[in-house]
Amino acid sequence: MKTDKKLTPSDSIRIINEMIETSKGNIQDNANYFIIWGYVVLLACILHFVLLKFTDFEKPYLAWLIVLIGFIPTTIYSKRQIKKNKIFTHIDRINIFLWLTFGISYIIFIAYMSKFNYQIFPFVFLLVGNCVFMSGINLKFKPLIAGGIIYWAGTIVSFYLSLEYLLLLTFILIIIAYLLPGYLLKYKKESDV
Amino acid sequence: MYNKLDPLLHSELRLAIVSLLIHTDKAEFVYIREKTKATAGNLSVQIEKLFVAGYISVKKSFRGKKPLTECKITRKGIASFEKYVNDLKTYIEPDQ
Repeated sequence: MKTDKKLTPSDSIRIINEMIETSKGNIQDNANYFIIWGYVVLLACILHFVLLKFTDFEKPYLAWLIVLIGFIPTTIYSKRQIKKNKIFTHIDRINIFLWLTFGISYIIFIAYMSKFNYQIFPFVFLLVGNCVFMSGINLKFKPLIAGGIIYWAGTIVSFYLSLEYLLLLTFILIIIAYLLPGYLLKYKKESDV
Repeated sequence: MYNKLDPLLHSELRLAIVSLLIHTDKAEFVYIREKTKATAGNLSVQIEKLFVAGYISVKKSFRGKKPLTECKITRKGIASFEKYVNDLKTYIEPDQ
């Protein structure tokens, strides 16, 4: 590309269009975050259920500490992506802050869960639902929008369930409203996204 | 009525750089070079011109041992780009 070429208005429009088209980030890269966290939560959920049902362990909810492991692959993957893409889009920035608000809200809920008798499931479902829905809007991807709505429905249902069924609901929600949209995003044709 | 086009943006490579950055939050020098297919030397000169005019910010650091240059459009750059596009419309739709 040269700098001294005499530009016509149509040249200018062509350059602007070409550059905007070429700088669209690959939104399918976001799918792996859903897949990583989906499996981590699924694992924690199964572990909590096993400890609760088949052992005498006094604090089966400690199984959720396993989610801390999720930060390891997330950090490795995001560093690799930044290095590979050489670009940071507005969508990336919104996504980071969206899930950061989730993390901060989650920590506040966990820190004060004794204030509402450790019944944090509905609040967590609501938080996840909000973030999945907004991710869907941000990425313009309908299965994630549907995932967010399913989580909101799950929040209402969760107020009527015992702990064992809450774990079952967590299990179902993470598969159909989180992992499934994540996989659909990963294997969606680029032109359809 | 034709509006005068910003001479800083009315250049093939500088317009390409700003158009790329308008759509991204920030982009590395290597990325801009790949997309514009410009030579490193020419690109450096044009980035410097945009930087001096306050259209873009440039951050130099290191990733490991390799130097890393990241460019980001400024508010002034966004406003200038928007004005350039509006001025461009007067050439395509002269009634405006």
